[in-house]
Amino acid sequence: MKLRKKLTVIWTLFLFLPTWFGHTAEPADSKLIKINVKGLTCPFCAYGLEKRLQETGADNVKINVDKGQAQISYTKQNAIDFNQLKEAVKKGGFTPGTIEMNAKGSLNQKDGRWTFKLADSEDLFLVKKDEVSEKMINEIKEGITVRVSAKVGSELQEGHSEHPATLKILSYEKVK
Amino acid sequence: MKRLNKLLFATIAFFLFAQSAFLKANGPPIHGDTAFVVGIEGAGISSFYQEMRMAKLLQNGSEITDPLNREMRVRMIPLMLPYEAIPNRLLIGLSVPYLDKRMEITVGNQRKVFTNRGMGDATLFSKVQFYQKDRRGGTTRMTGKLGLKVPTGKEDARDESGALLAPGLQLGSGSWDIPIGVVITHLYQLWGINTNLVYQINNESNGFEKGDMFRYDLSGSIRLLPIVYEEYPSPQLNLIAELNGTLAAKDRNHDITDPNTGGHTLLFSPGLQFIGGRDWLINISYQLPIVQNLNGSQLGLNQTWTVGFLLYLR
Repeated sequence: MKLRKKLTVIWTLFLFLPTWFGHTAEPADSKLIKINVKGLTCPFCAYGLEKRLQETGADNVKINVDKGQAQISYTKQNAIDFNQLKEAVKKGGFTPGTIEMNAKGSLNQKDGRWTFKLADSEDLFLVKKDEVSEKMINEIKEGITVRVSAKVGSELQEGHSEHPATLKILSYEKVK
Repeated sequence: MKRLNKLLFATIAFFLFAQSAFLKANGPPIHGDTAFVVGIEGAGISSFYQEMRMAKLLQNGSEITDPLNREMRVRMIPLMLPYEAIPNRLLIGLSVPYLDKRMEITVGNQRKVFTNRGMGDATLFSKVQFYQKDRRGGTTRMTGKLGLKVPTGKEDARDESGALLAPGLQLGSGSWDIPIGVVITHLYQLWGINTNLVYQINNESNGFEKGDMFRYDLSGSIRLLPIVYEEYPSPQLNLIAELNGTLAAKDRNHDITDPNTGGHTLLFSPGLQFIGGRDWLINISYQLPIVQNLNGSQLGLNQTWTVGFLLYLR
């Protein structure tokens, strides 16, 4: 009887451990956004930030207090509203810093500009011209699916309402 | 005096250690306040059990023999309901204390006991953040505080003989009082500090006016566990140290100043805080007076114990 009780306690603890330590499995094929959050110093203050970011339709929100970074992943939601994300950080009590995105999409050329269109979405980004993006454009053909890791520019492109943001490509890989 | 020196040394050592060590992942102060008005994202509930014991008679700051052998014990359980009315800008709330006061004195050969318990004065409070400067791994915030203490507590309790109990034994002051202040929080991941400054304007009621009070709190914390904070939320144990000071003016009773009231008290308050999840914490604290420069002849504080919790409502 005593052993049974012990086993019940151990089993209950085992069930609660993942929740207790906040470990959740990362979806394999998701859009991953990393926002540097300025001012993030106390975990107990991160509760509001986490809730606000979850309200943007995120499937998973992870906060790294020591790095001062929020990692948001979307699997169900196609379009991503970066302004909404920034607003969520502000309402959560902090200042949004640089945003990085890791997502699948395809490269397209229009009016001499290269754009990146998110897979399963109408979201378009202007690809910033630099050494890495030029190399990618040369390697990856138009329309081929590619996964990029890139910095999302905060500046709005005036006169290009369909291009709300720019991408500075950090790395890329062809999706088979 | 030796004990005082040791405590002061311990306090200074703690803050030096806090500044040189890994003061990451700070928790809110136990007795002081933080300039943060976020985190709740809606409503919260907080309370604590506090037991205060006063059993030494002080004459101009020095302990003397009390011919009445007075001993006072105050138990307090306030219920605080904060609400984040405007995200990251305005926090409002209500605080209502339950009080249990007991005073024992020796008159002749008889030990007399006076007790009074019930709800005390409620306080409506608000915090407005007016300055926020965030940087990577650090923040400086300033918040203004304004409150209104409403005379909801009974102020005319009497003893068995029908005599009015002393103001210190009453549950309420009968007056509408205004606490006004500022909180400055300056946090880095390596060190941080919270400063809480509050001036309370006390008003007259039924001829009695408690002296105005100025409260100052300084607090810092060190995370004891986990050593490396990998992912939020992780259970966390913080060691907190605070200095809680009060400067009180003398009371006035029917325009006569009571010389045996008011003065300066500074408490050293070490405590432990356990943050169990994203939305709750519990803490325990012990307060010991390191300075008690009280005017005239007054009962001084021996110690205070506090056990409390804070819960954010989803």
